[in-house]
Amino acid sequence: MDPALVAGIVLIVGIAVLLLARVPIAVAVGFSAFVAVAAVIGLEKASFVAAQRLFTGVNSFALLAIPFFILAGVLMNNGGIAARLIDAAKVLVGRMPGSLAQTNVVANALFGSVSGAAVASAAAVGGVIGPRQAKEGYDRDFSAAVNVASAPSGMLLPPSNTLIVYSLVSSTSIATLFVAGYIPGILWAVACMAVVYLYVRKRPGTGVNESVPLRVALTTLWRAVPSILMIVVVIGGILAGIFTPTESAAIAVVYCLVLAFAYRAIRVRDLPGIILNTTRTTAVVMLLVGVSTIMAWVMAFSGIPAAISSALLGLTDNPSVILILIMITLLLIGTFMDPTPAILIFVPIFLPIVTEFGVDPIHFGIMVTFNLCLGTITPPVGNVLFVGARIANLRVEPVIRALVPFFIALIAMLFVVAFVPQLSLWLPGVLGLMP
Amino acid sequence: MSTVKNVLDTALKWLCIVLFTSLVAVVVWQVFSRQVLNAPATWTTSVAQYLFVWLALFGAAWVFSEKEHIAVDFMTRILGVNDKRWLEAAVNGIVFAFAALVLFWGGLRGVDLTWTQKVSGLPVSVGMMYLALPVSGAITMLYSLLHLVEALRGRGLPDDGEEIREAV
Repeated sequence: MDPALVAGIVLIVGIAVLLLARVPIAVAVGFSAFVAVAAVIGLEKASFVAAQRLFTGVNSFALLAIPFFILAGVLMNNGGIAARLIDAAKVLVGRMPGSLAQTNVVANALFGSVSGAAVASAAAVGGVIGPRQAKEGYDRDFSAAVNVASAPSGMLLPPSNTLIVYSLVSSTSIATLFVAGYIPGILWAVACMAVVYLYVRKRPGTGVNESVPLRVALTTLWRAVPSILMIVVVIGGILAGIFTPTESAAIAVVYCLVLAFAYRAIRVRDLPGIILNTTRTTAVVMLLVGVSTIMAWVMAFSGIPAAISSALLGLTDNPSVILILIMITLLLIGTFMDPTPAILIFVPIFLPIVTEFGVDPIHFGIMVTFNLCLGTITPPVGNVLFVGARIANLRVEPVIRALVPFFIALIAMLFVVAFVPQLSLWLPGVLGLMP
Repeated sequence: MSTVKNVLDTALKWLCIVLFTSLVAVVVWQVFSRQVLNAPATWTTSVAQYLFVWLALFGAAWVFSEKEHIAVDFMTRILGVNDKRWLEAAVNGIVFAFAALVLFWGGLRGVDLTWTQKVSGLPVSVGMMYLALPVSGAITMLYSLLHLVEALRGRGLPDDGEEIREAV
């Protein structure tokens, strides 16, 4: 049999079987890819090639931004920054109908634009706003659903580790992806706010906040300025060419440390625990990145992307239909897989297909991330959903029911983002970041 | 055996904490030396990269100890306790094979082939950096064996609760 075919079959069947057997994703991918390489070049050579690819895959200065952004997020969560962002969000949208629910959405978006951690955001923001909503008579399932639905906006709003991983597999610029994520990330929040608006319109009494004196409003916003200033330091620093993304992430860590100590929210002896927490997420992501570079060897050798591409083209040659098929496939994958492994495994397959139709890789990255973030709030595997329900002391099922209108709005928004490239590409273009 | 595991766990944790702290310091120094001192340090990028590889590999070994590498687990929830035992043992067998063949064996060959290859500007060789692969591989082999034995005895099986961890 043709060795390319053997390698391809070993890879695909191996990953599928091992994943179903609950082998860690990184090992399922790494081991299957290793066996596929061994089928082509022999066991001994394959072990060295696999080890070397894993090592060089992890050996990257650009990816070092990931642990730093994770650490900055954990520090913010523990460091009194989240509370100040929530207060600021309340001043901004507290006068709208359904004020606390709208505040929840905006607070998640604000938290997301200084960090990229959706679960941390849902926990921090939901933990504060949930009890207040309960006190004002909001339906508890609905409150939890608002928090869950809006938290992933932070994975699109820069800084975003998901976008850094995409930049790695697609060879695109982190800075361009970051800027491209702004409008779709805001649209994610807008979709949630629209659902909240429609919901409270039918239920008068889900209170509007009393108006706060201008003085109090300004003080509250002022207190959030140091937290929000981080956007200027991190994103501004990258765009102005002062830092690389990795350097800006390290500066973000220092900035958050200074704020957290200034707010007296953490002590030195909390730091080892915080760092270990960060190491855990970092190690999970980096092992996935490392083994995906072994898989890349098999992909290139076996021609899997080309085979899938021609199979798709056999079905239809309508670019829109192919894009829709890819989006539906990724929505299904996202229900049981995190965005990072899904991007590492599937973007190398789909990206060559869509670029052939003239889809911009930056635009594709944004729609894929938007798509896979939906998976973090859907069962059977949805971390944001689970943490949102847990923090509200609810079972998952009623929260899922309350989430349905948000799913519909967000999937509609996904297709808007997918079919209107300007939403992703206009802002980077204006800033001169498009090639 | 559990004492060995505890000692290893603690050692790995502190190694990761030291590596992570150094990483932040090195990259901050890179910015500081360039933007403030106007004398960009030349060694920071490659030092940071190697520290990062070590953090990723030893961190991964520790996460194997904690069984927190993410897996797709909704299909196995329907299994009975006995099936779960065998499956969990088999999963750890696969982890062992991966650690032994790729990380340890492949890593040793990597060390061997690059032992004399100098890292430019640093007093170390690429092979020394590669050592993280076989060492973390050997540690992972040990952990997966321990987990395998535990699983056969019916302990440490995955439960069905929703796990709470950061979405990656």
